Amino acid sequence: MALHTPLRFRTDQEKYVLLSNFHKRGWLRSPDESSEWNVFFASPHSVKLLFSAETRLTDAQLVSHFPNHYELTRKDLMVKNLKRYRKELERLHAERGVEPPPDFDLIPTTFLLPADLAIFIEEFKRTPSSVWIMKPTSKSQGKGIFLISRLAQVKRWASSRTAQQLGGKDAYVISRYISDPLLIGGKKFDLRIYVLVLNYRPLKVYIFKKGFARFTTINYTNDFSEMDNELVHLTNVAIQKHADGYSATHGGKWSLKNLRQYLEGTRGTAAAATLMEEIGWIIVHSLKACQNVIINDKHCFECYGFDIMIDNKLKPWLLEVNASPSLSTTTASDKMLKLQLIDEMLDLAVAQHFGDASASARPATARRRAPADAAGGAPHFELLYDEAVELEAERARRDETAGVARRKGSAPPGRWPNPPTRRGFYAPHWS
Amino acid sequence: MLTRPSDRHCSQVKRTVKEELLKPRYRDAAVDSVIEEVLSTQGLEAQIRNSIYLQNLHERSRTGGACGLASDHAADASSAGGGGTEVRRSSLRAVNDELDAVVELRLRWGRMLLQNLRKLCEEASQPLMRTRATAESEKWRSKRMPQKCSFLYEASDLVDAVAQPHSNGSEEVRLPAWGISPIRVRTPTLQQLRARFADLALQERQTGVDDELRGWFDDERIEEGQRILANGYTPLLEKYATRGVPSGLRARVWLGLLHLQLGEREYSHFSDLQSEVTRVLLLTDELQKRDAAAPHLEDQYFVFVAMVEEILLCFSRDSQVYQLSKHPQHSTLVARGRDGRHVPFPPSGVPPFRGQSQYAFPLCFVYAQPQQLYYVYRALWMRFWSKLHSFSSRPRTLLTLCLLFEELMQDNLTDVCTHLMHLDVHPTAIALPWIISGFAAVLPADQTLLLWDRVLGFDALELLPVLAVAIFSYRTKWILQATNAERVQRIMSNLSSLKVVPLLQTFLGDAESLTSRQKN
Repeated sequence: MALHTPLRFRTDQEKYVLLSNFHKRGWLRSPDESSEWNVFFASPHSVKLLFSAETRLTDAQLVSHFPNHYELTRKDLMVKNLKRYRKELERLHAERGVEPPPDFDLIPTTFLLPADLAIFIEEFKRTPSSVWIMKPTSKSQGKGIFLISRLAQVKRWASSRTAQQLGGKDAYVISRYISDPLLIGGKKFDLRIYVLVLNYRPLKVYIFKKGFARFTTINYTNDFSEMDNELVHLTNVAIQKHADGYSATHGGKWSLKNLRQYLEGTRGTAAAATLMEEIGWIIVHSLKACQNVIINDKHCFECYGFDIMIDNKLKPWLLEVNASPSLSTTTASDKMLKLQLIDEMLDLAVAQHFGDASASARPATARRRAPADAAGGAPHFELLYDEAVELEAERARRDETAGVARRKGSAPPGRWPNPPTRRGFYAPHWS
Repeated sequence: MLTRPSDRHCSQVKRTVKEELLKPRYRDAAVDSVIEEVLSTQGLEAQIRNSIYLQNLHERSRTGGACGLASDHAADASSAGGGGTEVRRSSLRAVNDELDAVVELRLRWGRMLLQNLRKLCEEASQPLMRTRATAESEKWRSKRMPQKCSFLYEASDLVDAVAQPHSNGSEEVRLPAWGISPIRVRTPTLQQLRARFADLALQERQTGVDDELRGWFDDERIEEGQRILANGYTPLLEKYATRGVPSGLRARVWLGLLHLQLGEREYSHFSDLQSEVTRVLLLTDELQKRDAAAPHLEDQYFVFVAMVEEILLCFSRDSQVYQLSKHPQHSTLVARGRDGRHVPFPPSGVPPFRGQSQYAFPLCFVYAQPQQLYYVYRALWMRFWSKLHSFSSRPRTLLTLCLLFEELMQDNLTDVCTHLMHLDVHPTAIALPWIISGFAAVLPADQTLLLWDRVLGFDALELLPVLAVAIFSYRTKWILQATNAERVQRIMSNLSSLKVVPLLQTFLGDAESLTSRQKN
């Protein structure tokens, strides 16, 4: 469709990395509350208001969140969806009589509190020496998180809460604590990986190559006496930046490229490649898990911040998914990274939704594009998963074998959801 | 270990063979055929061949070239003084076949080190060594090392020392005329270097270039590397490393190249050093911590700061470094202990300098285990880096490498030299600090490691000045366009985007492109 340029944008986040990117494109700001916008870079809260008001979005409008993204980004709902997805896959595999799903523990064993308190207590009694981590379901930046190692602590916590507090927003999840994380230089870290979803059905996923590892400032210890020390256990920048050893030059952030180089050197090239691919699978599976519950509004795109931890056996674990990853910048390279992230994300989203019209919205000095690139025009994004490719192949296969199958009277293949396969999966290079 | 690998290997091999011979299944066999069989089945063959290879290397280095160094432990103890731990005088292990200029340089350098150490003592008002218990007692508690305390020396001090004019006033022949190198010895020509480093020729595929362009090449190299590792014969490993080592194999290949077999003995020695770090405090500890805390590429190295700090602190306490270094030509400070004996300070005999951590940081991308990291760091220091801190006219030491750099520049980049002289910028002042750090101070980790692969494989520090010249050659156009010194400094200050292997290849491989570039 033809669009009038320049586009109009609206945002409720006064962030440099956003505004400078809008400005660079020559887009015009439309006032708050106005409905005359083409691109709305909104906070989750604004999106909720937007969709609850039942305003009809036009074809020329694009919002930076899906209406019910919380199915993935709220800790308790994510756990529910993953558990259901896992059951579905297991059933599917059993029905088809094919090999069972591979090692499918995307997240550490997790229960919802207070709902699953009884099951949790049973599980805890089975492994009494284990450590668990409590997280409020809808808070971010490490707020309200604590570790527990004794059952009494959970019981005390539960009884101190009023019934009202425990409902809704004050609910918690409790997960087995990954007590043998991969340490580098004696320190614990987790990965922040940016993932862009343009469409849920069929699913299309891009990852941003410049993810990073976030390190704690002090050395990791399994010693329980340090259990209350957030600086040992939590990698959130919001927490670490108050530590003594925090440096504003690097901000405790290490590029994925460095991580890969380190792992290749110390664990071998093959092990490093496997890990990087497994991280890709975690992302794809967790998106597939809520593919059917997410309202696939065509006016939406969304960028998630995936938090992933690696244990000492090089198995990656999904910790949580953030709907609005921080756009504040801590260091110079952080600023550069987030500018690129937003820049290319806008390119991809706008190109997908508005077609070629977007090209003219860019000044003539814009970066050269690599047309053959899978993430065309976005050199720092790479295509991770494209379900359309799989569906196409599946359809072709079905057409071919339809006659045979009907004659033999076997069940028609390809019921939703199909487990993702290698056909649509592109192992990430991260570089 | 590095000194007499053969002794340990011999007894090991003998023991294994004896044990095998006693087994009942060999009862009726002829002894010599059994020995042969045991050697080949137990993988001892490669070990023996490596021992012989090493032995030959030692022989060659003892008989060939500049030799005849006097006793290693000729610490001059003549001057007497008060008791306690105190610096008496710096001493060079006696060397009597050196050029006057070199001897004078060493004396001067030793005096400077001593002076700086005394100054450090005064500023910190601390003794050279004290136990932690003492330090924690009331007497010392209030005293912390002031931030201003300076290092014993850094790379620029080495450059200054080299550049200082000869004191006897004689008109020296410094060739090339602009050079700072105080000695004149034969250095290899570019043609000789090309022949020596033929594996770096353009037509040879290299890890560090071709693996990035062609996936299959990396797989091929990895497969080849695994085969050679399984065989274990050192010369094969060396040959392999000359074309670069894939990152996944580097840890094992380097252990082989450095003849390191880490066993119980090494592990317990390292843990002894670790407890020494807690027990004894050295005056220079704070300096080493400061050195480790400020890596030049902070973004890349910050996660390793604590690890490298530990390595440095252990290293300075490791008296084996002093004992095992057969011909250390770097200056060693000597202190007099309570019992009147003269001991090197610090115990390793290596005066701590700023930039010591630079040799350790790149290794953190290869070795996650502190023990391995330590021994590889130590072996590299003893075999290579110590020579970059030694004044000598022997090949592959600071002065001769400096001379090699200047002559290559003079012969191949005359116009650049002339231009730089006009701008009052000295090429050696730019390049020597790169060379002294093994380029670890200016290149990112992956490039540094690719360079060190070749240094290890060819066993050649000459590659460092060669790379320095190659960088000048690569940036010729920009240098010639520069009209002031600041501009040149800026052009040469950021090397983080350079690719080492193609630079070496172009410089060593293609005479025509070089000369044509000069003409342009």
